[in-house]
Amino acid sequence: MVHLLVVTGIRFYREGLSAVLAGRPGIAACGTARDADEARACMAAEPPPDVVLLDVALAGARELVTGCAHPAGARVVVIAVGERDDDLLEWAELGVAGYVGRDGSVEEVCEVVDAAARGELRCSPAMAGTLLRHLSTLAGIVRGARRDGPAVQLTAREHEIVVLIAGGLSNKGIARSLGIEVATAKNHVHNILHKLQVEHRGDAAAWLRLHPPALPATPGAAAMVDRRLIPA
Amino acid sequence: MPEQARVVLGMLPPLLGGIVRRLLAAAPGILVVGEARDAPSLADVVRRHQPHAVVVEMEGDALPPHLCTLLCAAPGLAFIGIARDHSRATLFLLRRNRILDLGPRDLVSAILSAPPQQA
Repeated sequence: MVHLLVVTGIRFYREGLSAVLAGRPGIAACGTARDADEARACMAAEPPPDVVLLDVALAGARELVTGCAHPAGARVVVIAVGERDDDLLEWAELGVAGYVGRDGSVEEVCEVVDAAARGELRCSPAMAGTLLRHLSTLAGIVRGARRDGPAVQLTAREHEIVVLIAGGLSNKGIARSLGIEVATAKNHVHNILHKLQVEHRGDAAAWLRLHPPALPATPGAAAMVDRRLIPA
Repeated sequence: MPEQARVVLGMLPPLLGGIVRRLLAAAPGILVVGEARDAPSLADVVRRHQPHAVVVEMEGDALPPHLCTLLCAAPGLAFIGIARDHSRATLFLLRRNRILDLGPRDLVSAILSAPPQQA
């Protein structure tokens, strides 16, 4: 039986989805949390949730996903209930177990949650195609790095920022962590992606795994490594 | 047995619409009588089904002109406009109460019975 946690700041979805999902076979209990702090408290309680249904628009959503990214962690299904769809690949890189876009139906949410509980991924053919293409890009980066060695030279600042990207931080989070403007963080991220010749932040995170920094230069980056957000 | 509250749903996004449908189906005394696929068809659906309430998704807090027209044509109808971020809703009502054999006190009472507008 699956313990589920619905996390969104929008009360209608928190209570509505919880009511819909709680009545489904295989769901033992369905808790709710309105923000990241409440969610963390629910995840620390007994029994912990097996699956977390998380609103992408929630402040701190990325940090919640990375916090679950270990074998014993809850499987996180992200759902774009707000006004925009988010970057599927970015969420996939952070380790989510499922994704439902803004146009997803209640039935789709139920199916994705059920699949995540079984350790499976239910996704549309278009989504599967996007994920496979991305996997292919990442594999190309790995092959290239093994063959050619580290040809790309990032500045110390850019290295710090790649560490923060790999930790799941948004541009806003990076800016806050380094005490710089969001626009500056955005420029750095843009330059990094250009230097690495990749399109997505997840690709930059994959590059970092092949070129881990010897010593993190800032407390923010050090914390990311300490929290084992960067695989060795 | 009192009449059921008849509801029309208008152009709700799939997830919101799915939750609203389930919610209303389980609510005693409420019957969803129709759904509009797009803005132009909403007036037809409302005319055909004569609902007590219409639930729509709305941009901002102001009732769009085509819904104002619909409301004026069907006094007594309630519009519930759910904001685009789905965190709040606005209820629009246009009530028509006839005062027959109008006297001065009736006029004062009518004015006093109008609820103050909220900001």
